[in-house]
Amino acid sequence: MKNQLSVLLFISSFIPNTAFAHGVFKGLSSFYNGLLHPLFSPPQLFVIIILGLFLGQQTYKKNTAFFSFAIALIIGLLLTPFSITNHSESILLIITLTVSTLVMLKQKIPLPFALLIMLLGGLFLGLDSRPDDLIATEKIAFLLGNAVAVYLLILYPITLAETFNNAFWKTTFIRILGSWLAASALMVGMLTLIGHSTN
Amino acid sequence: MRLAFLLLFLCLLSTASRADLVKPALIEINVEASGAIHIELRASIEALLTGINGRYKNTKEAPNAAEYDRFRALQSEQLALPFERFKASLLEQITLTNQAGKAITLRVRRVDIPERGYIKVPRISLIQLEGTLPPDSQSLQWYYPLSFGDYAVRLRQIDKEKSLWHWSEWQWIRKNHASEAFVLHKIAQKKSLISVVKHYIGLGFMHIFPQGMDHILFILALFFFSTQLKPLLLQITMFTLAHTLTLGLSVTGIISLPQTIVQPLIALSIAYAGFENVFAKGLYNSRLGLIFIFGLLHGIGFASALDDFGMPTDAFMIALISFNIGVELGQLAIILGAFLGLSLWFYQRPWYRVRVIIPLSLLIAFTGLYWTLDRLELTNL
Repeated sequence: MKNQLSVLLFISSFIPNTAFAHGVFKGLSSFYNGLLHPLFSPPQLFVIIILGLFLGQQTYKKNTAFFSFAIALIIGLLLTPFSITNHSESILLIITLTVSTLVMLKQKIPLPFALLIMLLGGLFLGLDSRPDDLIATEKIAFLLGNAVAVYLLILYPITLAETFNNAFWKTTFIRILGSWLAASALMVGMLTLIGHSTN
Repeated sequence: MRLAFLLLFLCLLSTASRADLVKPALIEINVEASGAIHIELRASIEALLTGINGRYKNTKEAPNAAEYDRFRALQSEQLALPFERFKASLLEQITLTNQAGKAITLRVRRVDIPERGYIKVPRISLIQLEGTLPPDSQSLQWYYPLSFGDYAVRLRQIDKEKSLWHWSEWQWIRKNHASEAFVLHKIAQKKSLISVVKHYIGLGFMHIFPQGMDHILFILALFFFSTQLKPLLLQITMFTLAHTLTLGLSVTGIISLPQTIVQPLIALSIAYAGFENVFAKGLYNSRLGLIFIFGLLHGIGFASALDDFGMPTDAFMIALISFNIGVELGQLAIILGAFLGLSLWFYQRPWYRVRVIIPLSLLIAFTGLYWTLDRLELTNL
């Protein structure tokens, strides 16, 4: 397992700063744009799904880890004006790859580590939500919509993983989902890498 | 931990603000048999001056929102000064042409700017224009650039000698093109009943979803109160009865309450419903009574929206009922959306209340609380 992880992390370290535009849909208000944003940003969507599946797979009480994620998300959103990192999308893809490996392997992770993963996921999801081309008040509405969307979206994979934990084929299905997400994250990373090298 | 989560949400909310909705301009062109043309243009001069148009749902979303707010805070005689400088530009950009494409020269006859009043709602000023119809004009077309915003235009044929007049139907223009031609040589055709019904159902629906965020939050607060169908049905029934009652009474002019009172109370109703979801142990008659009272207020709010669109004089009741049906459909859409999107998936989970009901209800409540302060103009203190 260590070797697999090392390979994945090695590959993911090559993923450069990606360029998914945080644009807006014209005609929609900033709040609705924020609501839709995670659905149209693959790195965010991957992380939300994989963190949800990961948390749903764990057997201990998960409220602490869940609300840690929510708080980290809000902190990340509050930090967006400070442009702390330009690599948040790359980091989200790395988190997706790492966590999807844990999901594939159906690893039981001790609570402190799970907390750390959820905190990092929430924080970088928040940091990655910096809206472009919006004025201050629009940004706040956008970030609020984004927070609500991420908060609600993660509940679906959690529910799925919690529901699918009582039969072999169901747990296998969740693990397959994890592998698909890992593959998708890799593909997105590679496509971005190709995009950068051709520009 | 949850407290910290809520406080952070509150921080996010604290800078969000509700400003004026960007409302369409209403234009009435009066053409007399003698050839005299009088135009009444009802629009927000503040929005015209700042170029805030229908692209923005709310003035706060526009880059020059601060400039709008500065104009909105001016007294009427102070606002008249910048408008005086803007007048020539306005006349340059709007056109009234006949079928031959000949532009009619228009002059500003008079401008009525209401007193400042409650600055959380748009100030609609009346700009009166006049001109003369060229001989042999068969039809007229109005153009008002999209940079000024969406608009509705209608034409009235006036025969003063016979004391007769005929209104055309409203034309709603949301793109940067001229209106359809208004024919002058025959009596304006009325819209069919079906098209009136469709139009006002659409307006009612749109007023709730997606435009009426305050009504959406109130309905969601009712929805989150219980996972049972009966309490939801009872609450929605009370709300519907109440808002239907005041919508009818307000639109017909029987009751009237200033927006300075109605708008903060609507926001307060949202805060109350949200907070009660967290603390209430069951559905008591007191909550139903309060929802009825809140419904009365929301109905007055709906009526003010209907004022903006105007009502057909010959199909008043049909339009009113259709608008109300649209509102009901909007409500149902939100409840259905919340049910299909949230309850259906999560209501059996042991964490449904802790992770969904309580956080979302508190978010709704704090939003309502902030809007209350904002509408009372306390957030700028």
